[in-house]
Amino acid sequence: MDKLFKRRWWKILTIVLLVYTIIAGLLAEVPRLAILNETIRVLHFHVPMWFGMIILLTFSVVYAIRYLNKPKAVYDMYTVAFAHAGVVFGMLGILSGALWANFTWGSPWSGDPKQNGAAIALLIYFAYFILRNSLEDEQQRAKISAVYNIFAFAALIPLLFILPRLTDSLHPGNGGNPGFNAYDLDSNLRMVFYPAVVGWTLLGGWLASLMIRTKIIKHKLYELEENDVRANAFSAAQPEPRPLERSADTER
Amino acid sequence: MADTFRQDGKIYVVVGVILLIFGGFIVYVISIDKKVSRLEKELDIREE
Repeated sequence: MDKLFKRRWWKILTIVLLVYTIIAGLLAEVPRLAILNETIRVLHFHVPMWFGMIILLTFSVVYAIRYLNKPKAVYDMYTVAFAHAGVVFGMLGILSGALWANFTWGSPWSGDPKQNGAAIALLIYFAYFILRNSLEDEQQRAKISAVYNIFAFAALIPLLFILPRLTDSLHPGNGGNPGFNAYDLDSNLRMVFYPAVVGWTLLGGWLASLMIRTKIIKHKLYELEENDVRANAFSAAQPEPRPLERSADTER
Repeated sequence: MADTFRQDGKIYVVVGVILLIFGGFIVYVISIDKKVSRLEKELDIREE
């Protein structure tokens, strides 16, 4: 993964896909549906936030499990960086959803099961960061937050994918029938939507990778500093006894 | 006089503005990426 972070090809792919998403997402032919009208184009921007969030949080929980398996400091950095990026995506998803809902469902928050589920899931992840910040010891923090991360992910899946399907929801594909129903068969939308999901997710991965790399740099600097302090202490301790010996000699 | 650009409710202008802003952010991200790479080189951080 470390190696991949420094590769250029997937970053270029990110830019190409997102430029395509913006151009085609705004200009391509879309189905003419009542109420939604042109806002159907939000599909390429709002929904990829959630897809991206799920994928980033999956990476986060995978590295949490790997940390518990083998406590390497890097795995903890991966876990927290992916969780960060995932939560940013989730917040953008909630805000863009509220804006979209205001003009299509009549109110920014209608207590839709999926809206509520997403909000609860985000709060659970906020608690993850609060938990981390409340622990001083690095290893303890990494271990406890890795365990919490697994529980948070285990709560996320039913909140977003199972509970909204058990009741009626304004979101398409909920209330019994999975899938995209209304736009399911429209290939025009799919041609933009799938590249959009990949592009936005890669952007999240890019940001997470930058965060991880700066954390590794910080860690390295801390190590160097530590070595410096130790070396200084050593060299300071070494020449000290000589003048003492000499002064002891002259006194005699 | 750039008639096609003024047609269709001028949505192209919107696309242009969004692309410009998006491009600005991407340039910013790339510059951060390069700075991080340079620091990694200075500190001699090896790939795992």
